[in-house]
Amino acid sequence: MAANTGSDVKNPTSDELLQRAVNLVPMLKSRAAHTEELRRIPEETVRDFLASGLNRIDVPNRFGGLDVADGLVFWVGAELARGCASSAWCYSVWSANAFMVGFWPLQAQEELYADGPDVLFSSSLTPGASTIETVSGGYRLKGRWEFSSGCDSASWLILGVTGVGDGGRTWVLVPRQDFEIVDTWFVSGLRGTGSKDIVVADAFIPGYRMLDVGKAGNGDFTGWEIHGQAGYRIPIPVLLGWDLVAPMVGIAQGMIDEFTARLVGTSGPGKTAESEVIQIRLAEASAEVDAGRLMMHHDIRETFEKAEAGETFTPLEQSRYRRDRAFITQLCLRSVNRLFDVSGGHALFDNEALQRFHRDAHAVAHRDSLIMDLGGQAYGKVALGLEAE
Amino acid sequence: MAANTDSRSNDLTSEELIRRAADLIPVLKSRAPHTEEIRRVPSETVQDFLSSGIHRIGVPPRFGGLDVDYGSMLEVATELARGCGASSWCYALWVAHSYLIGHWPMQAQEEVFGEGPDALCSSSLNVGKSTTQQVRGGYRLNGHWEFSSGCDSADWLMLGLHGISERAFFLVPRSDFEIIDNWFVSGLRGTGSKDIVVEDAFIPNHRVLDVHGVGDGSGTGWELHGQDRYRMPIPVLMGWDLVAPAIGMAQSMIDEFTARIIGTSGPGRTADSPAIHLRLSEASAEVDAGMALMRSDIKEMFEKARTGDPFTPLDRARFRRDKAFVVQLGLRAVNRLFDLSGGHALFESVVIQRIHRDMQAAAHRDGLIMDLGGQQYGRVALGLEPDGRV
Repeated sequence: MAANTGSDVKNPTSDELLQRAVNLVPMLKSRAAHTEELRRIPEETVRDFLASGLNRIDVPNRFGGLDVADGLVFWVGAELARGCASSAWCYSVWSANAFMVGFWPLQAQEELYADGPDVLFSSSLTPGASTIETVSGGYRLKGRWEFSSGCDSASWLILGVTGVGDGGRTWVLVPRQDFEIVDTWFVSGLRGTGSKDIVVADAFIPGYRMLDVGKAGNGDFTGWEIHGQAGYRIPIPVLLGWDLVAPMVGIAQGMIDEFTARLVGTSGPGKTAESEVIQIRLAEASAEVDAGRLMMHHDIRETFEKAEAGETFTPLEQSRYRRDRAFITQLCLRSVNRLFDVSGGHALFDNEALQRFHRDAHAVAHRDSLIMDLGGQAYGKVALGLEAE
Repeated sequence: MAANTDSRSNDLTSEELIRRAADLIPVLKSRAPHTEEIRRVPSETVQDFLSSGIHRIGVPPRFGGLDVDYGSMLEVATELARGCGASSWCYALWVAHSYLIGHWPMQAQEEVFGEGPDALCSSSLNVGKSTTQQVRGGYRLNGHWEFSSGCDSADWLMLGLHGISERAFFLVPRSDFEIIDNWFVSGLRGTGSKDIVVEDAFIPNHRVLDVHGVGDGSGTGWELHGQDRYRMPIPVLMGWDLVAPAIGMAQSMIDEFTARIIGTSGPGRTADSPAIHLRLSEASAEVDAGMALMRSDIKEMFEKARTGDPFTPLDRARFRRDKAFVVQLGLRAVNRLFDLSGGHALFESVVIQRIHRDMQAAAHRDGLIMDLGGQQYGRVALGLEPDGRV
């Protein structure tokens, strides 16, 4: 793809932005093998994301972003995954984090965007083996975290910690010079995400770089007051997680694309376009992906509509979104397995996209929150009148 | 493993062979990452298979083979797969091919086993891109075949062809084929199932087997060896050699999953979780059901062979169905457990992800996919003619 000059356009429409994602798919696909080999997102791909302006979708207006608050970033994440799941995953995580930093106090946000809107934020939100202590003006932080997708390209990290404030979940912002990356990322799927370990030896975190996650968008309306954007009236756990589901929908769609392309025009006995069992498999698999995508669209639209209307989210609604994120992931995984299982020995070779999509889908579906048994269970609990965790 | 001093004994029992296989599990497991890395079965492992005597289950007794049930090989392969799926896969194929050689004319068998029972034979039985030309005393062969598991250690290959008859297997010595290393794959990396090229080799007539009808009733193999396995149609007995390693891999997933979680407690993925209990119950029932079905089918097949009962088209389609179904049961169990193993199970150093990849690869054999291999039973049961090989 030629460098996209569209990022100069101040106000591209959502359709235009989505089309830019579609245009990137062939390039991402051609780099997918190299991305796996590097075990991180290649710099060319990062540059393409920045040149396309897609990274600015969730960056607040006041910092030069587009601030499109209607779920567009998720449709883009799904689209990109048809080319390369790892690239889509990192895009999606960077974007979700760009949205989230809008919850922090203004002083922190101004530091992040001091050099313009093209800053990438990675994260490791599960509190690792870390200690944090209160000192004058802030905190001292030490620790080790895991699974920080896209960290090689990040200027800042959001790290999960516990044990300060009210004792709930807290996130701190850490600049590049305060963390080290430990390259542990030798894995079976999503190899290109470079989701490596993070070590902070001993960093000072000023007080304004900390966020009480439970209160953000849920009593603490700093983000709403600064940006006037409905997304900042949504409690973080309601929206967070769709950034991981969106690439999964795209992986499953990519699998359908590839499977179809391999079989179209074939005939005769066995694994060909004329086989009724193959036709049934494809029908089932594509219905699963369509159902998953529609459910994602429906839930995200509903979330933003409620936020626009100033409505709150009941525990049952919150657990339903959580359930749906796990359920959609499992629908897509089933679809991927259904097609991979009949793809035969030739689909196993390293240069075949089918086996890469299959490995990547399994890696996505290994996130605890996206496993039905773990992430999905809460809905049943709340629906039966018990307290959510 | 220490070399067994009695490995040349010809009265090893089935129980003793299975015990030796179980003894090999830890060493196979420790070599599994290296096996993946070199993308073939290491020669130390081949040596262990030969010195333990387990390979000789497939060799006809007159050439130094063991007079034990063929089913012992399947039990041995199931055990070995608990250590390394790829090693078990190659083991089972080598044994199955040693048995198959017993169907060839005596002259060919003497050529293969003339030096002793430790000759290994790999294969590529799907008809590749090949041409044969009849010449005086035999054929001239040229061609390219795929997926020849264990070929790096093989002294001989069996190659599938058509044109001479509906389906024929050619025996080709190591000097007559080349191996092309294209085995860069997502699963069963250690099997080294590479491409084979034959350039203008002369194949004497006695190294050609017309597969059609072999083992159906009596024949060369039965007359020479008098073993029940030679009174069974080839398509009925072949294929279980892939099912046994697959179900063994599924068992190893249960072993590993249990070992990771046992003794843990608290919320999430721990031994306290009812969701985990349920998954483990379902997965282990699937594996147990698969093994029981495999054993019951093998027993029934050998009873038929012993009594000389014919194998009806429905019997044949059912055995074919069951081979696919047992593997799919194993696949389901492996997926069920892998799917909730979490992010830490993705690391290359963790056994669970290798078992998952290996199981996918095993289940990618067309014969073991329910839609392809299993479908025939439905056709025949509904009174239609089989439209493929049964």
